[in-house]
Amino acid sequence: MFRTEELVKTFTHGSSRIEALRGVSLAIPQGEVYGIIGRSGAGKSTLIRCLNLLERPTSGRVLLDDEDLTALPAATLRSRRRRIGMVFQHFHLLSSRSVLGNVTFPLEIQGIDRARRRARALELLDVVGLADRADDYPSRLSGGQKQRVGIARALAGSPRVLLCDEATSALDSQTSEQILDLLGEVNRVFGVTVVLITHEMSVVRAICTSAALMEDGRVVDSGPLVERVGDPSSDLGRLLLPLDPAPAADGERHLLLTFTDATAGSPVLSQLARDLGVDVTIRSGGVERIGGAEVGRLQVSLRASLPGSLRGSPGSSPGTPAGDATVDVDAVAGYLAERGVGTQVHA
Amino acid sequence: MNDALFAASEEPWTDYLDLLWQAFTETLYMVAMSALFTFVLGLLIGVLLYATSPDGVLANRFVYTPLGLLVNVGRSLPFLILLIVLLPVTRAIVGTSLGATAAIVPLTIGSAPFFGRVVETALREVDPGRIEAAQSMGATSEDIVVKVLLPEALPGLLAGATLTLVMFVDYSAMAGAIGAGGLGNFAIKYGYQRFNTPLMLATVVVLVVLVQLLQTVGDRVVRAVAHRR
Repeated sequence: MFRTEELVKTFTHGSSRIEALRGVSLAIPQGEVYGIIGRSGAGKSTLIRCLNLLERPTSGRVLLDDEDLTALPAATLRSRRRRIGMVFQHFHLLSSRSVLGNVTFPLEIQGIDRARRRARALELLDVVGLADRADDYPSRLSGGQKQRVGIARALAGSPRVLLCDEATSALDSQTSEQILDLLGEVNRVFGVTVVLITHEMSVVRAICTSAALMEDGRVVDSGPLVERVGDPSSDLGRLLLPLDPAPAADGERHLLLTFTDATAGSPVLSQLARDLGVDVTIRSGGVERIGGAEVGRLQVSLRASLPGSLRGSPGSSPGTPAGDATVDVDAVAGYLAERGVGTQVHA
Repeated sequence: MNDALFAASEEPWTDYLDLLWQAFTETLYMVAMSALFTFVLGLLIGVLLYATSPDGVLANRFVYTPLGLLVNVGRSLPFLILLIVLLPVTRAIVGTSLGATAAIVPLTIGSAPFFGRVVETALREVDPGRIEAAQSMGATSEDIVVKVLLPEALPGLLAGATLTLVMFVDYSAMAGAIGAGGLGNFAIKYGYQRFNTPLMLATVVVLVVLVQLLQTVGDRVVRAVAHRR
């Protein structure tokens, strides 16, 4: 639904130029919880602010449902922005208005009558669990409560997409978890696409279905999390399920294996040991639920266990020093790949 | 010395209470009317300065630069000189350059630039993130000024308004000296020039009480508004 094409944003301050975005092309499908992750300064904040044109890109296009937002006249852009809710790190609630007044604000500027805005706002405050605080002023709320009001406000105009600019970064970890749960619920219950930027991988693991990794103004890896974790060469996969690489002993061959939903539950490693006669030792790795699916990344070392079963030294037997038995790693990789396991050979 | 001063006046100052009351109402009238015009004009100037400033929502240096210059010129003229310079303008607008009504013209023109800057400063105190939030919801510039900027800046605006009101009491006394009436005129005409020192002191006391009252009420209102949020 959201697409960017070759987005470039350059900030000039006097003689210094900062290239915040250096050609970002991204497709965010409808219904996803899409994470944009990167270190501070990677350009993710600029990117999300370009999506609703709070920041005008220096060049490139932003398409919402195939309509180029950068080409719209101001009045049309304003009406499009009403389809895009935004949640901020520092909440940005109006201190002059009560909680209810903050949530009705977007409806007020859309010209919706008082009774309907009130009904809608109370409904949303109920969703975020703050119906009893409607008449309080924001200064009396905790950070987590303020963000709940921020989310209710962003949802008031029934947007199709919610942009979250570090929505949990100002909150403690427990509160942050609750807010993420709420965002996940918003995605499931209302079918709202959620785009969130964060510098914490844990946020992506917790609720995202897809993600893009940004480095130095560019997207270096992106896609559905399950697919990324399943790709042994993926940078995102490595960040999602980090491995503590063990050094290879003499003659040992290391393989990086990735499992996704279909393969994570199957006894493929023991089958491998039986069918090809290799000893498989798990050196590091783990299996976790990410993006609603079970995924795993394992680093394993291989050794021939039966003489002659694979091309190797004929006289070797179980327990022979590793150096004596070499394993045809490519054959093993091929065997696993056939069964849907991602493989990458390490020297 | 003191005896000589008091002796110079043969009339007791209490004979002038009616006139003092009249002067007091004239001052109130001048302050209230000029405040009304100044607040409207100053709000306009302040919002324009804020919105058209280089990083404002309607950045426009062709408005900002000349307006800023005009405001600075207005503020650098001593009020007493402004009073005299504006005599023909006052005559053109009000029909006379004498009396309390005539004083409203120079009072407004002298104070609007000051209040404009006060407004601009108060608006700058509003967190730009809140303006962005409104923009992200599709708010127009008008929505932003009326529904975000002014309400969010309200405590600062009210504090600035109090400051300006007190300044009006001071300025209206000065205007009184050149024929506008009011307490300033009264103090000079009946107190100073007739050597009626008690009368002059009584006038000063009335001025002090008036200023004190304005400041206290202003502070209360600011606190009530700020406390609610």
